[in-house]
Order: sequence, then structure tokens, then C-alpha cells
Amino acid sequence: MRSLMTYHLISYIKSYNYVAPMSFFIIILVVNYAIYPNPVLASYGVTSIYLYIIAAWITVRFFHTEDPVQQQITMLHAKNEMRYFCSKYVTASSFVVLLALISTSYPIVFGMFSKNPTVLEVTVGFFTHFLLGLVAVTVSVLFSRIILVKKINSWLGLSLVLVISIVSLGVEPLLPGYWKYILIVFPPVSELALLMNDPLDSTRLLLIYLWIFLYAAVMVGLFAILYRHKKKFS
Amino acid sequence: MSILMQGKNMSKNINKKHILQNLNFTFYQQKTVAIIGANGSGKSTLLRILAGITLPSSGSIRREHIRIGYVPEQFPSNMTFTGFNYLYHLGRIGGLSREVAKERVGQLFDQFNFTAQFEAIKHYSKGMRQKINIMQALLHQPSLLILDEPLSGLDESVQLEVESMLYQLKQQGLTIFFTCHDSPLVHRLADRTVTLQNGKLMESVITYDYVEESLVTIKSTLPADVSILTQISAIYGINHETIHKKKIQFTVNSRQSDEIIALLIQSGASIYSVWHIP
Repeated sequence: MRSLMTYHLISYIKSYNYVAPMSFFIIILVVNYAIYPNPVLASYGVTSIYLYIIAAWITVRFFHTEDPVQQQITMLHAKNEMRYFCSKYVTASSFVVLLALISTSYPIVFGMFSKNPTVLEVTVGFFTHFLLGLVAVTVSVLFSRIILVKKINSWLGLSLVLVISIVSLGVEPLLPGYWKYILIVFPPVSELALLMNDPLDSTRLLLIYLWIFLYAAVMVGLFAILYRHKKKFS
Repeated sequence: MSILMQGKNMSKNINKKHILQNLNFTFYQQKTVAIIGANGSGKSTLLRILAGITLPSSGSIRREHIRIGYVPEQFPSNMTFTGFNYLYHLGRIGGLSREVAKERVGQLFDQFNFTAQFEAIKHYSKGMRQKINIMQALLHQPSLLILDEPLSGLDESVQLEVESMLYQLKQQGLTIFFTCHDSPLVHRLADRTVTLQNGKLMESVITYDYVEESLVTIKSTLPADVSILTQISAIYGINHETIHKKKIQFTVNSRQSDEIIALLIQSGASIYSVWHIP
């Protein structure tokens, strides 16, 4: 697994696919904190949504780094496809950890908050970033070319899911009757971002964390099912 | 002969199109199988199923738990890794330790007489990429080597080199499955030829298993292009005898005689006589 992760990481670094999303992330982070002082939790809520979008972008590009033929070769050498995909998920998640660390520590290091954040606030900030990044990874893989054939469907489909999940709380009252339940299939991004305010509702926050974690697990399971189906019929 | 793979009523549909239909087959260990057929007949898809890259849509395939080396037709041309690093990482991914991976990669470069191992693969010629492609398949010393059009797009001298490598691997007892449009390679290498037509298995011919082999002596003038003698020696493992200043003689297997005569004529030699040794 470690050798696979090293290989993925080197391939990704050599591809320079990370330059655009990483640069964009740093820019929006700096712009977000350009006017200060800022409230701690609300700021973390906003930057975690940025990370959610950037993590989706990074994941699709990361899963597209390897040529499809080379991917078949690597999988054969790895002897196990699930091992191959696990290493991809873990590597993509490690990018999320890195971005979450940058996003959480940047305003503290440069004194962009209105007060000194407590340990709890920093912990909540990190986990909110990490979990939204993680869910973005698992959702984005479903829109990569491993599952979808057409590139246009990848980006359009993913963009649609990202936008709906971010604005879902705003859209919900506009949907008639039972149609609002359709929003359950989207990750609870806006719910989590709205919770990032004082005073912190810890119970609800933990429930949303659990919901996001389960959602990510279901997305991984769905990927396994769709991948096997694709392997049989395309 | 022990069974290596068996397919039963195996079909493959891609985007609702029938690519392979109800194939039944049995392949044996240490046999070289050529899968031939027109473009679009399903050869590559069958190879990909045999390699385990894709699954049949219906039916079943049973294969022994063996290490498979797969040589795709289109090896990626934009690889930024050097030849050495590429093979080293694949070696590590396959479970080799750092030292063993380095040693094995070095062995392969020596075996393939490959000197550009520290250049990026994207700068390699098509022939060099094909060698790396075959090397990656041999990295873990597989029991089965699967090659999709191994000679496609290569110039004649590289084709001869690749043929020579495959012939040597066959002699070492490796099981080889390959698709090919090149009938000399099929004749030279295959023990069995399987023909696919519109996704159906049309015939399966045991090419050489039961052919009684005999020796043939070919006598010719020295060819204008004498490098062909080295190539013949590399491919077939036979050397010529000089019987006169400008006359040479080969004693070859009857299976190889047609090809050697053709090579000699193409290189400007004139054939004096060919006779069968009882």
C-alpha cells in the first residue's frame, strides 16, 4: 500500500495537476482573511466549503493522472484492484488533511481572528474541513472517468452535485411537497456550514459529522458496485 | 498438460453491443496461443478478460492463481518517469523489496540490452517503449504472458528483436497468449491458433503440437546485407556454416525454413538448394 501511495504521489507531482487547484485554494484563503478581525467558527465554516470544492477538483484530476492503460498495468502489478483504489482514496485524503491543516492554521498564525481560538474551536475547525474534504473525495470519484466515460459528464455532474449540496438549505423551501426529500441524496454541506457559529451546538455537530462519515462510506460502497458493473459491461 | 484457463459460455457486451458471444475454451500451461481475427473481432477484449482486466458480462472464466504479465497494445507515450524508475516502482508495487526491485530491473535492462534506462519514457522511440512494455510484464517473472499486438507499429529491426525475445521466453517454458496480424510470428511462435470472427470462436487449430519436426538444409550465396546472418542467429538460435568463400549453409528446423529462406532472399542472397534430412 505504501509503495502504491508513493507511486501515486510521484505521478501526481510530476503531472503538475495540483498547481491550479492548490494555487486557487491559497488565493481564496488569503482573500477570505484579507479583512480582519474575523469570527473563528464562521470563518472556518466558510473556508471548509472552499476546501470542499477544491478537494473535489483535486480528486478528479488526481484520479485522472494515470493514463487508463497504465492504470490497468498498475492494477495488475498491485494484484488487487481494491488495494489499488484504497491507496488512491488514502492518498487523496492525505491531500485533504494537508489542506485542512493549512486552512485551520493560516488565520491563527497570521492573527486573522477577532480573539484567540480555543482548542475546541480549532479541533472543530479542523474536523469540519477534513470531513467536508473527505466527502468531496468520495463523491468526486463517482464522477471520474473510472465510472463515467464522457469527460463533460464528469465535470457537469460533479459541479451540479457540489452546487446543490452547498445551497441545499436555501433550495429546500422552494421544492414542492415530498420533492424536498430528494436533497437527502446530497452531502449535508450547508447544514454543517450553518452550524459553525457561536454558540456551538455540539450534539447536532457530532450528528452531522456522523452523517457525513456514513455518507462518505456509502459513496465508497457505491463506487465499488458501479466499478464492478462497469467492468462487466464496458 | 495441466489446464490454465477455462471459459464457459462466456459473453461480453460493451455498451449493449455484443463483443464476444458464448465462447467456450480451454487453454493449457506452457502452450503458446495466437488469437487471430479481423479488426473488431474481439481479440483485445478476450485478452483483457484473460488477463483479469475486465470481466465477462455473462458466463464464467476459471483460471489458476498465477502471476500474469500483460503487454497492452497502446503503451502510454506520455510517461514522465524514467525507464528505471517506472519499472522500479512497479516492482515495489508488486511486493519486491527495494534491493530486489533494483536488481530485477537491472537484470531486465541487461537482458533486453537496453541502455537508455535513465531517460524519461516520453522521449523513447516506439520500439524502446515496447521493450519497456514487455519488461514491465516480465518484472515479476509471470507464469503467463499476454501480449496484445506485440509487433504493431514497430519497424522491421525492432520486430525481429521482439520476435527473438518472445521465442526465447517460449523456449524457457513460459505460457504465452498473443493477438497478432503478422502471420510469420503466428507460425513461428504459436502452438495453437484460435480464430475469432464477429465475437465468435470460429476454429481452434493445434498448429504444431502434432507436426512431426524434421531438419532442412539450406544452401545459399552470402547475402548482400550480411547483418541478416546475425539476426537469424539471434532469432532462431542457429549459426550458418561457411562452405565456401561466398557460400553458406544452414541446417534448420522444417518449421523455420520458409522464413529463413525468405529473409535470405530479401537480403540479397541466392538460394542454391534446399533439402530435407530424413
